[in-house]
Amino acid sequence: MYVIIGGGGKVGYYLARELLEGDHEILVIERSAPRAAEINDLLEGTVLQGDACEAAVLDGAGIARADLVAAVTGDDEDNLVICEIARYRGVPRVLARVNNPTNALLFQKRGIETTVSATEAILAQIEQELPVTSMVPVMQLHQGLELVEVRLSETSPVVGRTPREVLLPPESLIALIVDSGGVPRVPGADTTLTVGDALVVVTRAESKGMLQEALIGGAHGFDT
Amino acid sequence: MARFRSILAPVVDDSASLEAVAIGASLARQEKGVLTLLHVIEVERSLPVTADMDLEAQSGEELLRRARALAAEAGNITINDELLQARVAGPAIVEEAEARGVDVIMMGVGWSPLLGQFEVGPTAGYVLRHASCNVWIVREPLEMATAAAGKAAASR
Repeated sequence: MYVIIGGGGKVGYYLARELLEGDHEILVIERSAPRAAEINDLLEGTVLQGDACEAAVLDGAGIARADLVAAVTGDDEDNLVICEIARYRGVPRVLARVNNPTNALLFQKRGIETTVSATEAILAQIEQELPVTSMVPVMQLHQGLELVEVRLSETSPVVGRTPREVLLPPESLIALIVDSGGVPRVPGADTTLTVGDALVVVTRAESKGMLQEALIGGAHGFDT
Repeated sequence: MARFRSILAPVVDDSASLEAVAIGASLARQEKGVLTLLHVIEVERSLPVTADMDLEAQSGEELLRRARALAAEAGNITINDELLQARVAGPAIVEEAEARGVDVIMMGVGWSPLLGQFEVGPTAGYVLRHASCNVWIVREPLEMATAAAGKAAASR
């Protein structure tokens, strides 16, 4: 697989190093000449010095035959431009690092479905650690869908019901139930939701508020 | 002194490189060793590394023929040659040296003063920094090297 990485900072460098272990063809494009020279030596000559926001640079890098472009610079604007060019050139998979989580929606509106935000990942981790939190984003999926985990408390309006009886927002479904003992179950007709159950739910990003109300009730948890 | 029974000489089309081949051949005769001539075709990123590079392959083979003939003048030595395609020459040379377990890489460097300062160039620089075996750098006498650099500049 040919992977082009836009940005040779720490994220780009370590990403390239891991991918090289997997025997992929890698090219890192780094704007800064000293940084490009520094990591080129460490990455077996797989670094191109240039601005990945320029179509000519990406063309020279062979973007037309790339299987995946990962835009991981420290600037969301640059990452958006890199992804836009990659999509325009027909790259099948495009992935962007989003530094400011509020920009994630902007990427999605431009058709860049796969975004990775370190801030969101850390926030999700913190939320998992906080006992007051009931809804935790787990993963972003394609087409604007997300995977979230919802833990049911005593006040949850769905406790004692079956999954079928729960009125979920459109295009949402309970994919998995993990009981308080840590045992995973596929939701069935005879499954009763109980306090302490963790529901793994697929939903749309814009439906998380409704989902929270349906499963948790009131204004508990974070809506991220 | 270390024994240099297996010698790798990367070949490009310049006089310093061929000088390194001649010295490598002399060393191979002295050590009763093997000289491997290597030419690396650098394939641009817009193409797969395995793309057909017919023109470059033809000129590379011609270059290897010339280098082989020059090395053969040293006498009865074993000469191998190899034509490779890679993204960049430096890592390809280091990998080939490791795969063949060579004792020394012998490469010529031209005289190309950038901003008045001599630099060995990215390929020789990479090999010097990364090859685990010995690396010998051959530079022609200054008068010849600067004349070759001037000739190259005039032809550009």
